[in-house]
Amino acid sequence: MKGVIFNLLEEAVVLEHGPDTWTDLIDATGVDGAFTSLGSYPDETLLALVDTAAAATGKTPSDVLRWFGAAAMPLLAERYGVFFTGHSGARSFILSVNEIIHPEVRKLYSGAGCPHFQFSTDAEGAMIIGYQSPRRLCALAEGFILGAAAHYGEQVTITHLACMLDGSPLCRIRVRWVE
Amino acid sequence: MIHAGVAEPPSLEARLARAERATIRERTARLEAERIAEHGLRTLYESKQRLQLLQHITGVANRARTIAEALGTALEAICERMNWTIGNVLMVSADRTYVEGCNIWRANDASGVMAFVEASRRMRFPIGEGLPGRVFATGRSEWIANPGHSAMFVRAPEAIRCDLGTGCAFPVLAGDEVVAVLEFYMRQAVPEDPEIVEILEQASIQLGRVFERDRAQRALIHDALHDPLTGLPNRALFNDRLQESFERLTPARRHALAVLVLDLDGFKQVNDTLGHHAGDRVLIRVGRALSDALTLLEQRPGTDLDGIRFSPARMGGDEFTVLVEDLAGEDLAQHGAIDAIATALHRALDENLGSVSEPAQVGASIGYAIGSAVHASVDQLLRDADLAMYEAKAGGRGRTVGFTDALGDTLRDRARLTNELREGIERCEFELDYQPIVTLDSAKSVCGFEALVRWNHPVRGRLLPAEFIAVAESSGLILYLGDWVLREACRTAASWPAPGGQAPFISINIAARQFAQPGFAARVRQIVLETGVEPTRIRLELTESTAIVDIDHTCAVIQEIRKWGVQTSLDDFGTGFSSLSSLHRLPFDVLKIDRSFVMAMDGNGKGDGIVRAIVALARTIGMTIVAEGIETPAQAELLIGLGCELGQGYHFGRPALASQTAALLER
Repeated sequence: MKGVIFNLLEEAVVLEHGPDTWTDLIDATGVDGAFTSLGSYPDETLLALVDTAAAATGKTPSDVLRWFGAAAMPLLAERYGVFFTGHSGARSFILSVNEIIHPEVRKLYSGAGCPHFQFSTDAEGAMIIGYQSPRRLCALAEGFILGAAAHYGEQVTITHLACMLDGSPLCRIRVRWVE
Repeated sequence: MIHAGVAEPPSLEARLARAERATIRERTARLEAERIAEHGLRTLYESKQRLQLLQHITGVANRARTIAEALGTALEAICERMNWTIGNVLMVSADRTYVEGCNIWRANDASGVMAFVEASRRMRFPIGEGLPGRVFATGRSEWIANPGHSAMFVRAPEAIRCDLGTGCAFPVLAGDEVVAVLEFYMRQAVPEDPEIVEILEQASIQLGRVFERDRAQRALIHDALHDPLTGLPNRALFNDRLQESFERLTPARRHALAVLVLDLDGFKQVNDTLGHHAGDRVLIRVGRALSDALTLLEQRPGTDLDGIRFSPARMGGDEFTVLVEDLAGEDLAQHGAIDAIATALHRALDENLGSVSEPAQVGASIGYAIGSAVHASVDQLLRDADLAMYEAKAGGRGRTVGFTDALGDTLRDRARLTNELREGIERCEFELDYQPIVTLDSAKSVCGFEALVRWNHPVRGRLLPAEFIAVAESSGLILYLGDWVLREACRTAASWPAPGGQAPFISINIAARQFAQPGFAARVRQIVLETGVEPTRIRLELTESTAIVDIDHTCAVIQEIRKWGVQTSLDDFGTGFSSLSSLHRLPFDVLKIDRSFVMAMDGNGKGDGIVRAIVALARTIGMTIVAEGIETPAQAELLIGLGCELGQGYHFGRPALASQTAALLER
């Protein structure tokens, strides 16, 4: 996992809960806590931080990830505004992940293991996103989608048609835009 | 103000605040350091990618066997690695007036951009028109934003249909010349990026090398198959084409094929008198005249020559050939058609060579052969055409001879006779007859003999010169035969008795080629010394045509041998050019009046007048006169009346063997 994810998590936590909370979270999880955006850190560290936060707030780890994804989006827009301009809405922004955003991520973070999403549209015009990753961070993806919609002032409802966390080989996430 | 040593220890709050400020500074520094590092990484990544792309394209350019392969592979790499949706190649036309899609294209999303690809892959853009036409005209790359809405973009409707946001086109340069244009399109709207432009320009430099290499290769092949002087196909290419054409036709259809062989007349003279540069100019002019004339012939529909194809070639030296294909009709019509072609070629040479070859006259002797089932190989066809050409050449300048079966028979007979002649010389099958020459006075005493060669042919019996001298001359065997005659006649003459102290002279015929040999005078001297014959008794007979080939040489030889007393005689006077100016210049001792004039005499008519004129002429110049072919006493009397001094003919004695002549002398 790239350090930038930890940095974003820290920023989101600090923004919402104040600077002490992050240090508390680091201490409570018992991890090192020095993250630089260009470094690589074990996936387990992130999952441990999420678990600790979930335990402290009484939420599920998925809820925490979902919250993190949504909260990270404005921070990303601040850091990497160029990826957000040129899109009229969240749909086109989301569709550019494979072709534009992830290639750019790989330029910065050599060896970054970015997931590949399969996009399709169902009969009602909703977007179907296929996701498969050993990290099983579909909840984070959901959060990013929610955050993207919010960035463009849109509202979406997200449903998991199938989920790896339920033993499915892959996740199928349905995103419907609320008119 | 801080006073060290006396200051109050800071409160915890103050220290905390200070630590927090330090943390924030550290954090800001880290973020800044990360940004700088990210920028560096991105730049590094991009230049690495570009380098890889260029390396890849360089590799493609080096490995590709064809231009199309190099372009196709490079296009694919550029589209894939630089994220272009469409790549397309347009080639510059041979006449350099337009660029045209050559069906080399790549598309990442083929079905989505089909309309645009279909409009592009075969489209032609005149120079200066449309994006590719402009790049061709300027030789510079061009970036186009939103091509669907550009008035400068010809394919705007298709660009809109395929939702193209950005396009760019690059020239591929071989040297300074645009040889192709590459164009790329993508859906995204991307502003002109100098880095992308530079990469694509570098890629096109590499691809330009493929074109240059291809050009060099083709130039090598062209050079190997063409004559550098005239630019015509050379012998190798001509033979290839002939072979290919020959093999394509079944034996029954082979008469659709013919070969013309042209050998220049008078070319050697140009080289010798005007130099090799002049010779080269003549060859260049001949090549151009042939090509132009054949092109004109090909463009004459509705004539007998309609549909015929020609390929001229220079075989080497002053020999040219024309391969004629798709010849229609049968035997006679074909000969007619090729005679017409040959006539056109003769005319073209006449019209085009005057000024370059003057004062020498250059033309061509043309021989041709038409393919037939009899020809087992192209070599045989070529050989027939060559034989026909030699036949044309032998007949004089500017002639055309087509190979026929009859000509083949004649040539075969001649070849056989040549072989027999060679064997005959080796086996000494020749002997000399001697015909007496007498004084045309009352005594009619024998004063000399003319040596006449005879061939005791093992099968055909005794042959007279008329049956073999022509072949001996054309084959060059005359040099051996003539030398033998000279020596044998001298040897015989040396053995003759000298009744009354006055030994007879010996008249010996000298062939043109024998006389033209550089060492001829020395050879005569050598034979005189070897045989011991008194040189003053030798009279060498030259025909007028032999004497005037090279008048300077003739004068020199005559004067040289005259120093030792050898005399010369002008044979057959009146039958050739009879040029008074050459007669005046040539210091002959004796003039022989041809038998035809003697036979034409009747005592009072025109015939007598001609002989009288010749006698008067010879006397004026101071030449002795010998009349040939005197068969009757009346002719003898008339010649005596006209003042002729010597005579020979059946009336005085037939040619006889040496043994008999000795008896004649002793009588």
